[in-house]
Amino acid sequence: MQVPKGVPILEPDGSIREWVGTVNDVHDRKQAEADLRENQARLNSFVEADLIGILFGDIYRQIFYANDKFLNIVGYSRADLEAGRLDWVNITPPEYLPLDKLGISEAQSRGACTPYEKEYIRKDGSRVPVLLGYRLLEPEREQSVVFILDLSAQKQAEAALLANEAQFRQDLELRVQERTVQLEAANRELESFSYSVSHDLRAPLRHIAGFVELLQKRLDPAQLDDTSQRYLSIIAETTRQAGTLIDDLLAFSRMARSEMRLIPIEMNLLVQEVLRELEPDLAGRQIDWKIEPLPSIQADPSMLRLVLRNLLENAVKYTRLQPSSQISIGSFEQEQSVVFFVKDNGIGFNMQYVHKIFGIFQRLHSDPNYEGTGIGLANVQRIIHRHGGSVWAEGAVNEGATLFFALPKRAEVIEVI
Amino acid sequence: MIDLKRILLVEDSRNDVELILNALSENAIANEVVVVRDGEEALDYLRRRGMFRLRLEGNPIAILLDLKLPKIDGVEVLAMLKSDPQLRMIPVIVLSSSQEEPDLVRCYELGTNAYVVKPIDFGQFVEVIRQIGLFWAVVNQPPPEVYQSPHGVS
Repeated sequence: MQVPKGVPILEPDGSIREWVGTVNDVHDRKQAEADLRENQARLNSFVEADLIGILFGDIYRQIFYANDKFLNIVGYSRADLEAGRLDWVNITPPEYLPLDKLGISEAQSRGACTPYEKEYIRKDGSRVPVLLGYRLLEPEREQSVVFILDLSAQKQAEAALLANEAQFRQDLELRVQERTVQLEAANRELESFSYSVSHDLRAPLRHIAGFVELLQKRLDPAQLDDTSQRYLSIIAETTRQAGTLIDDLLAFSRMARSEMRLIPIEMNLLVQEVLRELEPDLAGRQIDWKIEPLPSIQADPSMLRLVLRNLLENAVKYTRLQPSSQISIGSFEQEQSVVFFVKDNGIGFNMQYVHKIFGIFQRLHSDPNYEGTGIGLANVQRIIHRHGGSVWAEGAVNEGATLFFALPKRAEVIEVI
Repeated sequence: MIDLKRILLVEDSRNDVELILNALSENAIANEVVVVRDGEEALDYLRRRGMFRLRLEGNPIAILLDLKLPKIDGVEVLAMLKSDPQLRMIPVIVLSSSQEEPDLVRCYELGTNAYVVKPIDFGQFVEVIRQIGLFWAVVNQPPPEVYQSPHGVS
């Protein structure tokens, strides 16, 4: 663009005769001004876009300029700002001032700070979480240009998420707790029901047993025909069986409720003790015992004795009719546990029914040669479970059975619910 | 002083009473057995009150106490007996249907002298009663009798 700067030479009649002057080419300056305006506009559009709070201030407390977004974040008006009522120290909660101090000293040495989160106190007293970063202006590095991002929405979302999660977890826990309480109550009820039933059945059974016996004594055997005699002995025998059943059931129920104390147990000694207890059962029997040296283990002594007693009793019982009875006792180690086993060459069982073997009242043999109430192995399982261990069995019909129980090396008491 | 060798049986079940008496006589334990049906009667007997106010004084040599009793149950009777200076020296043998640990603990805490579970099998039952009778009525030396009842016949 060319801007003329001239003086007209006039005719006597006042008309212009000619121009005398210079012509300056101002194209470059115009361009620079336009660029500046454009830059200014662009800058303003950044500042006034109001996507992010921006302010100019100093490192002490002043705010010289702030955009609408910043005023909006902190809830002050432009009038407040212009009246000098806005001071960034005043609107910063005291606990964040040390953080600001750190940021400023970082900016003083590096020119800018690493963005950090803080809070402002809004005019209405509420707090607003923000992310801010600033650069200090050269050369003094005392004046700042600060960018402030409102984090309310994120924080709210985060809090809502956390609350949701906490609520969910709480709900879940509550539900688990409720169920556990219900389950415990149901179990206790069942336990006390089975206890009181067995307990209350004991007295009438005792009476039947007693009076049958008294009756048998009063009757002259010579006067009594064989059938009556047989009836009486069936009544007596059946009562005795029912009595054993109820006593076993009571012992089973007691086992779930009695307190456990875990102490180191010499398994070798315990096996010997149990074998001594079983001596009456062993009378007249030829049994080939193979007893390996066993490791000691942490367990409740009286409960573990019962486990061993049950397993050995079974082995002795189910080998009764074998031409030569063999029973072996051994152990092996697994990563977390020690496994003990009792193996016999007795009548065994069909693996098809192995899942029933530890169930209460489950008997895999109806043969009258192998009497039992079906509580022994249920008790074994209950005891081992309470020790945090497991039980299993292997066998085949007429080829013997092996019963295993694993006890954890690091024992801890498991409460049955 | 033969009347002092009485045994007090506290038992509400007539069947049990009959079986126990039978077992005792079977074992030739000839002590007189006084039978009361519940805790209240037991205390009346021991304290010579109510229907027992006219009985001869003197404590039984032993009390066979069933735990399950109507009105005042066995554990309560035991607690009262053992906290009564006049009665607490009388040996008490608890007869129970079960060996429930809490019952056992409670009875021993209260000071029972023995705790016996009645076996279902009659043979074993007779044997248990025989041993109780033999020990408490024959072997054991009962505490010396203290006569200080205001109702005493002088």
